[in-house]
Amino acid sequence: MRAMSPICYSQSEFPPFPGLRVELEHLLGVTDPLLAKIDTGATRTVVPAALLDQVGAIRTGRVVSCRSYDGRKREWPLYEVTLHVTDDRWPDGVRRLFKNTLALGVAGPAEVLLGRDILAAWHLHLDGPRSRYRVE
Amino acid sequence: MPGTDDLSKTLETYGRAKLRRAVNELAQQELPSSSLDLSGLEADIIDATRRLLITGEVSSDSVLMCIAYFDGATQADLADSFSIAEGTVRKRIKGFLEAVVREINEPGETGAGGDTDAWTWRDDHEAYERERDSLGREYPGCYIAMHRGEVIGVGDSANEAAREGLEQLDRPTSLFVIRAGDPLPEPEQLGMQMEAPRSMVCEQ
Repeated sequence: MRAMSPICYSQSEFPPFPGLRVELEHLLGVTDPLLAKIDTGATRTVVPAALLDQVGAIRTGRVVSCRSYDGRKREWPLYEVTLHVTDDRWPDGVRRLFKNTLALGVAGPAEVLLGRDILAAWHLHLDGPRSRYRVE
Repeated sequence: MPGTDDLSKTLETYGRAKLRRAVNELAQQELPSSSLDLSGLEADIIDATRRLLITGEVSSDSVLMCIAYFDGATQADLADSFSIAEGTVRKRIKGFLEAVVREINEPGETGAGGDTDAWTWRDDHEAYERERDSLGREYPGCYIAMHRGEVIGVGDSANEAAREGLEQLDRPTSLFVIRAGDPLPEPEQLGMQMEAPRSMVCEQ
């Protein structure tokens, strides 16, 4: 049982950030493992549209409206896709599978951001000084 | 006929990609300059903006050709043929096309989804909305998968429709799927800030 083993932040940028390996899956298959950022500032999970195309996600017809910091309004489509946490460090008993979750698909190069729609399933304890987190 | 001031609203309604196609189409039309009917001319432009048939991007040259054409035509014909304020009308047409050029050269916030392809997800939505009633009658209770305005998959579930569509298309993509006849949901307003500076590329 690895229920509360700490997971180190990703060091790929500074300051380091809490991240985890996930895979996206839908009608056409599954992606390679992707490093996703835990983002409590994101209302919904964000995924590059190219990855959604790759796995044959479903574009639902639902649209979300967001604002950028200069006040401009942008709309983005919502896709139905399955997200699977495949990180080896992920503790047993903590939810890994999010079937048919709704994610914002954004064009161009982008990160996978795990928003509060996913994060609501977990208890997260961020340990900034030691650059690690626990999840249960 | 949208004037320059109405351009943002027009782009929002019809989509930038469609306007590009419309201008492209106008540049290729042989409009009858000798019997130019102004009301018809306006209708042509409005109709053209509604057409979704032509793919591909319009070039600035095409737009300039349009402007030149309308300039010449109105100067030569309108004043004699119609009892109208020729200058005002010409300015409206020219202003509209010039505004399209500006929008093409300086893409602004009205392009949604960040999609730069000639056909965007918004075009799919517009195509569906136009045919919604007839699609509801043709596929009652079924889910349909659409690609560039065409139904390419039908099923009892969204997945079934999408699978059929993907088989038809034979290439990876994410298809627009909806229950035929259902209205598109209103946009969901998120408090989320997109295009935020989430990661710093360079700090000085």
